[in-house]
Amino acid sequence: MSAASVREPFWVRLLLTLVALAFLAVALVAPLVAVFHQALKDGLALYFAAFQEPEAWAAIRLSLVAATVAVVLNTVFGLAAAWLLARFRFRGKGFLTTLLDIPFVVSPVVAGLIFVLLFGAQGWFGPWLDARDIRIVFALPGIILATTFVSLPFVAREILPTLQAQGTEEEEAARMLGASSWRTFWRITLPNIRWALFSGIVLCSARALGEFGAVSVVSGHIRGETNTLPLHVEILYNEYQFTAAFACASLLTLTALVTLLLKSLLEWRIRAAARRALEIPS
Amino acid sequence: MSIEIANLHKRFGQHTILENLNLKVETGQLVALLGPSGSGKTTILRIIADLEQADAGTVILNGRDTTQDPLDKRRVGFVFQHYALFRHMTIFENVAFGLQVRPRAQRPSKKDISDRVRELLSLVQLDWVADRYPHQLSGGQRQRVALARALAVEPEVLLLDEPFGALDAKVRAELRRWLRKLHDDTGITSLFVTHDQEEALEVADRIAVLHQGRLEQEGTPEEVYEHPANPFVFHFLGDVNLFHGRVHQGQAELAGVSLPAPGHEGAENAPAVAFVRPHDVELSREPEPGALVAEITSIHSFGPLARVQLRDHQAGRDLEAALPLERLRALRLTLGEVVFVTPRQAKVFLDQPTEATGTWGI
Repeated sequence: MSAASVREPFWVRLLLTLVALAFLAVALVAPLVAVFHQALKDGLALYFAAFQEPEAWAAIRLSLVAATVAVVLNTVFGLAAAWLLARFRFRGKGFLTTLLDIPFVVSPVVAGLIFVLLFGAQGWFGPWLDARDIRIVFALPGIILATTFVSLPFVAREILPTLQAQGTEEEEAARMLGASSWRTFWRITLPNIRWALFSGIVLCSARALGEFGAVSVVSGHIRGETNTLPLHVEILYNEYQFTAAFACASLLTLTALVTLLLKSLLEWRIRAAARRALEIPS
Repeated sequence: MSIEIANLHKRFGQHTILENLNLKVETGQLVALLGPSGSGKTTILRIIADLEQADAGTVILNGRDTTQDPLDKRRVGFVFQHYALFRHMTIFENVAFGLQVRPRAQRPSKKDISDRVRELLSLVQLDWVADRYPHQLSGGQRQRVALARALAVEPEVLLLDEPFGALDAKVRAELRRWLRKLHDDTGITSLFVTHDQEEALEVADRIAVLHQGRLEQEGTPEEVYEHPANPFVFHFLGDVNLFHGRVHQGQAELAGVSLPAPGHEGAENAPAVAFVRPHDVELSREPEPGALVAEITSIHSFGPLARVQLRDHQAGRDLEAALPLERLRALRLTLGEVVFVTPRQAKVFLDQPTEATGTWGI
């Protein structure tokens, strides 16, 4: 505890705490409660009925497929990018690091429009794709592309600091003992960054599942075909099917809560591992 | 297996790290690469291990040029300053790693690996920690595990990068004696990097002294200590008193002191520096011919040798003398007392304008 002399007076602390709590209640807790209240207020039967709709099922499946592919792609990419940035010095490294954050700062709608501009019927590659009967926009490939784009930085961003803190000595030691670089990666590097990697995958999944804006632009809203779960929620809401809309929304909210839980568990593991690594030998 | 390094060059940007470096380590020897930080000693080790590439030059292991050989063909064991143990593996798994990653045809059976690991762990006197993790061990124990791990793959050369640099003084002293014994038992050609002259003098068969990427001198500990090739080596291998003066026909005149300067008989009134080890400085109450007069400013009397700091007010310089504790007691020297100081012998070097005396001067 800090000394009494540097502590704020009681009323200041109380005021700050109350402001923070009030803000949290209005901005976070109330919406959460509202989602579940709306979803469940007409009874469990109606709640579960919302998921029996074939269109709802199709939306859930599509969301899972798009998110899975995006997470796999971004995991591979994230590992490669973080490895490159942590282990090598090269010209343009700072630029590449900045580039990695573009999906964070670009509005998802703009991201979606970029893909329409590139692959849409009037787009740059549109005629070429059309001639070969390849459909990207308003089809699964477009949805996957958009989802991948918006969830791209998470894995790389999560493992980069861990990889940098790790240093190269253990890898060098493994190489000196005769391990191939492939083997060194699997047996030394990967185990050392595994918690950070899981954490990145969890965040990436959450972002991929919840994505609305970019996917909305490229999906074309074909019911039962190119509607992901968030798009499905919007359609239900616009059609005044509030219970069904909120039932589907509650599903997304639940995944978010699970993500949060996993994330804090993983952060605890990462910190424990870092503490162990820093332990000063006697 | 012998190590031979020829004409090694290494630059990093504008900075020259190694310059035309040549060094030979005979089979079975324990050689110290000694130098201050930034002298390039670790770089040499890393180039031999192929963890870094030289810009020019060759590394010859056992008479064979291995510059182009891949890492795992060199049969080199490496021990890192910060141990670099695999933190997510037990001690047993750490030591077994090098055997487990061998290609299937050369990989020993599970039982053989287990036997070998146990054997190595008892060699480093740590067979009781096999199931622990590195973070549960002390620094000295970790470094012994790192050594066992390096030895597991039966390297023909062992490279140690400041192996005791991260340990406290007592463990350090213990471990270096232990390393010497281990080397005598295994006979494996070893090259170790250190910035600690005491460590090098005590452990190594031969010492290579490095300074700013160049080899200053190579020889046995006695040779480099007793017959340093240049002022840098003399200065780096222990405390010294420095005198500036002139040499004329084998005699050095150093501001009030006159000493023989063997090897400089041909010098004609040449500017020179003379180094006198503290234990070659004689203190006395009786005035002696050619003695300096100095005031005692401090006395440290721990250990077998007492150290006395003196101030020569006339010449405006500080001196240091080291004398056996009994002698100090017999003289009954006290702080502030004025005594007579006689350098018994000095190592004289002619002032070479190329030598940057400022970098190592007192």
